[in-house]
Amino acid sequence: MSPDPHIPHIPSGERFTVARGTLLLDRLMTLVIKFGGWLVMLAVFAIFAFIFVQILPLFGKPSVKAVGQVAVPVEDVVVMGVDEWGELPFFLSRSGELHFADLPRDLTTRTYGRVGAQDSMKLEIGPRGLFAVDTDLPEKTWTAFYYDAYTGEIALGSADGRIALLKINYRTEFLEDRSRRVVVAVESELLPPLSVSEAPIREIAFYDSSTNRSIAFLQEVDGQTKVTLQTYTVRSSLFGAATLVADKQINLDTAITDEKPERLLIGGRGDRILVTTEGGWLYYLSLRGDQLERVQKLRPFAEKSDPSIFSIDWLLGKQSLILTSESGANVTLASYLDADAGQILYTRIKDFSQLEGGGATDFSAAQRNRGFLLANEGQLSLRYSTTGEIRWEVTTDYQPKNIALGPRWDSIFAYDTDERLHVYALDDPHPNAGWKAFFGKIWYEGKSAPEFEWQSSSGTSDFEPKLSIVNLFFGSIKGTLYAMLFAMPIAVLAAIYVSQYLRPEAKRYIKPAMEIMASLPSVVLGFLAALWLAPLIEDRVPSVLLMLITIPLSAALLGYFWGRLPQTIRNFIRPGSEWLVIIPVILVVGYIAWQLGPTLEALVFRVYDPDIGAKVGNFRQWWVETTGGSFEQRNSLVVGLMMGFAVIPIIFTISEDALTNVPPYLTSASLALGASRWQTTWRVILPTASPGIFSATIIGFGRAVGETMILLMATGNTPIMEWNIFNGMRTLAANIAVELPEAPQFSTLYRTLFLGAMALFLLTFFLNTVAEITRQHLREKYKTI
Amino acid sequence: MSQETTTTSQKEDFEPFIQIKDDYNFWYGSAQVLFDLNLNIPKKQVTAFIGPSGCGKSTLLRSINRMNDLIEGIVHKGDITIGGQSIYDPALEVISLRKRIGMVFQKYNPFPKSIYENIVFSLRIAGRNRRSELDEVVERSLRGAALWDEVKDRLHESALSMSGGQMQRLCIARAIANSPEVLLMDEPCSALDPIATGKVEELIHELKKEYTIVIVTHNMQQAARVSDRTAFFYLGKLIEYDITDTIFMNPKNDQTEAYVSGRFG
Ligand SMILES: Nc1ncnc2c1ncn2[C@@H]1O[C@H](COP(=O)(O)OP(=O)(O)OP(=O)(O)O)[C@@H](O)[C@H]1O
Ligand SMILES: [Mg+2]
Repeated sequence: MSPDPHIPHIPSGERFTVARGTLLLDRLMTLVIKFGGWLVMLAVFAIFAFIFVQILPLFGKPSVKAVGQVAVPVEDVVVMGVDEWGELPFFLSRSGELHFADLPRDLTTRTYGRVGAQDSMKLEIGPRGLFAVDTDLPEKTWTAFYYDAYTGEIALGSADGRIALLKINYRTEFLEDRSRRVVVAVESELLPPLSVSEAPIREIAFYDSSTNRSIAFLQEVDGQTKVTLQTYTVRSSLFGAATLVADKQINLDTAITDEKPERLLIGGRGDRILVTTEGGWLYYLSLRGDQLERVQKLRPFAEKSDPSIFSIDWLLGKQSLILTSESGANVTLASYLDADAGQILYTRIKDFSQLEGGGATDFSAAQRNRGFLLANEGQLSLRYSTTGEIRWEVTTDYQPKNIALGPRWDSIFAYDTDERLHVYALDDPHPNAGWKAFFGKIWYEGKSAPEFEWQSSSGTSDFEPKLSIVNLFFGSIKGTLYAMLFAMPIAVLAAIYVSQYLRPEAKRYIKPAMEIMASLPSVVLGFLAALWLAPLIEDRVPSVLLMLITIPLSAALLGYFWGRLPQTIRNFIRPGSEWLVIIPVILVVGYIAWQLGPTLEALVFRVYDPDIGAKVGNFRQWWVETTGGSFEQRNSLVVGLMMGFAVIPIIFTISEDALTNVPPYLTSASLALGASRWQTTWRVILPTASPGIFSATIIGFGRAVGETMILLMATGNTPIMEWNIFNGMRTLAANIAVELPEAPQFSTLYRTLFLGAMALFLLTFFLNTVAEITRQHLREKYKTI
Repeated sequence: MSQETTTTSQKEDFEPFIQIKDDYNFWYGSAQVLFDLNLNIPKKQVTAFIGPSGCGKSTLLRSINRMNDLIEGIVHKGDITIGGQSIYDPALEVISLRKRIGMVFQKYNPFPKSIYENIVFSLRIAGRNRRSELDEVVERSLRGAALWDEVKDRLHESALSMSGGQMQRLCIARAIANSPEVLLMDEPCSALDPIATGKVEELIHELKKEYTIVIVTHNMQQAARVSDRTAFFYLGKLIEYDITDTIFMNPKNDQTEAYVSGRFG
């Protein structure tokens, strides 16, 4: 064998070795690519993990730690309350004496609780000791007490039919060394004698609004229970001191309560009283003029073996009542506007699990949420009304007599029969969160039925937050579906037309045009939707409807008749240039439809106009009257059109690629068999390209689900759950944008927004997974050789 | 000019079915690939087109059923008639023309559907969906393509699960399902092994009883075995067209002789 003259003379051993540099580079690149891949996976996983960590606390249980106990020797305590910081609890004894106990600072703050104080730890009374404050009230035997922890007001009724008011004003002073000291000032007022019997007052209720006060009380007169409602107006003098001037006195007509009254509360604006009776009935009476009228009589524990009402108390906001029965059954009643009766009624909205060991002997409502604390002989139970959940429960080795929840939802105070004060640190940052709150139907106060609802904040502090993710999820799906309804047919049909029919020269312009369309910032589209499209179609809905029907219809009809024309006429237009005929037709039809809209409106969508006294065309009103739904300017139609516009390019591009990539030999096979272009498209191209078109749709769907700006700007962002095309929605993505400025870090809302983000993440994850599986399946089915 | 270069036997003792006439010329854009062709193809016989690669055999074949129309910028001059009717008649629908002409491609191209659906495709697009008719056509076509015994138990399996030779015969069965008049075959055996090739060749023998067949092949033995007449093309021109035996045993043109004896091409 002679050596090949073309190969330079290198020993064969060297000729076939690979340069070390090549090998090294190859290994290096392999490593870099692997590393990059892992890094991407890691980043995705890290985001997921981060969001997960953010939302985890929402589902946590509170931590309650016993801080300690201390002897507070005050005789016969009837009311106990506590200041903002839990440093200066007060103890009101039956004789009317008021004591305060100085407790160590930061006793109950969360940090203290977290550090983990021991149950055995001894609490010491601080330097100010246990001190009494003179209330300025005369020496009397007090027989009835009502304490409103939110305002710090106490109403007292005496054995001789007199009423006094006491107000405990806590104030925080900051000393020079920047340390904090809680000080207290007590106001009191003995109300002038009322023209009632001098019999002892057995029960008392008090209501305070800025302009008037109401007091209701029970007296035992001649073996009969008398109910009296006394209203006062507030006269304030020049110097700010307010005096109460008796206004009206209404004595309850016994016919209203045919049973023996036991307890009572005042609600509404001081014009509603709620009276419980021995038989377990709750009477709801309303002040109309000078008369108390019976509005409702209900029996909250009707189906229980002991229907009697053992305790009844207001929750924060005075819309919900917490009741317990003698055996410890526990329910929430709340007022709502009854549509049939046309007035406010009370109904049972929550049923808690039984409080073991009997009804609540004392109650304390939280001052910043819908939580409350119940106590009976050997039990403390912290519950949450919105979710109907028990947050924490403990069997005590003492007998709690008076309880108080720290106003900052961070401490629990229980005073026992041995005159000892037990203090617990409560760490429960998200009491209103949980599976039920986010995903369940909840019967909120003020509502007539359980609902999914999202309303995270409101002007008033005693508002009940509603955090249903379901509404937002629904909103995302609604917006996306309307957009897809519009975008899908257009994008896929356009892709079919461009890939199968259009002449390749024209195709060169379509694709870049689509890319420009895809690159339009969504904020521009949202802006256009909100400020141009929404007002434009607001009064022209019939025109839009007409266009949506006539344009596709005329295109289809034109196609049909075109196919019927003799070949000789069709030869004037080259195959692939048919759009030269279609576009003018569509423009003309669209214009006519737009102009005909008002005529259609006047003919079909007629409503009665009281001003003219005749029927006139008005689609807006017609829609509202016919469907009962609302009509908003920024509605799903606008979103559908604009967001559809935003997703058309992506669906189009991917579908077009998929269709173009169908092997040409399949097209040839079909055409050679005498199939028309449409038959080829429908029977061969579309099935083969279906995996790609399916992916395109899902990717478009994913894009629409995550879209924020268009939805934010083009809808009213009301989190409703209706399919009505003429009102809006609030999507998961838009919600995050809307609420972010209102969500302090680590608050429940903040974490709930992360939950929304997680839902979005999972939704797209789920969609992509389903899409990928289906795509694989389709690809297997329609794979070509 | 055409008379000078094309060598044909003096008298054509057959009834022409496909006529390529009036000096048929064909251009892809500005590139001319067919020059002044005149050629009569007999009815119910096998006509083979042979010639070196790139000489325009496929182009001519695709002209007959106007598959070239799919390509941008084609121009032609002259005429082609089938059964006396011009394929370029403006009143003629291309679709109905293609229904008359079955085509088998060089590379088998079954649809990603079942064997059954592949065969009935031409019926379905004509709106013929009666089950009994379809069943009958499937059996007849598969028998016609000598495939029935091999696949009769798996008619509803994907066509792509078959072997290459089976797929090519399936494509033949598909092409004859609608009983066309003409069958165009562009190198139908180029992707097949000798055994499958043999089967397809036997098949062509059978099929010519009913169809007018035009086959393009690079395989001289195959042309000699299956065809009745053979046309030899070179650089877009028809060099010699005669009875197959004459072309192979006794070619009148030197180029033809050189090509069939394997000295160039
Ligand atoms: N779509 C096309 N566009 C432009 N030129 C083409 C096209 N198809 C074929 N040609 C050219 O036309 C000439 C004839 O091609 P054709 O495919 O008809 O040859 P052929 O004889 O079938 O060759 P082969 O035996 O290799 O299949 C070739 O030069 C080729 O480059
Ligand atoms: Mg060829």
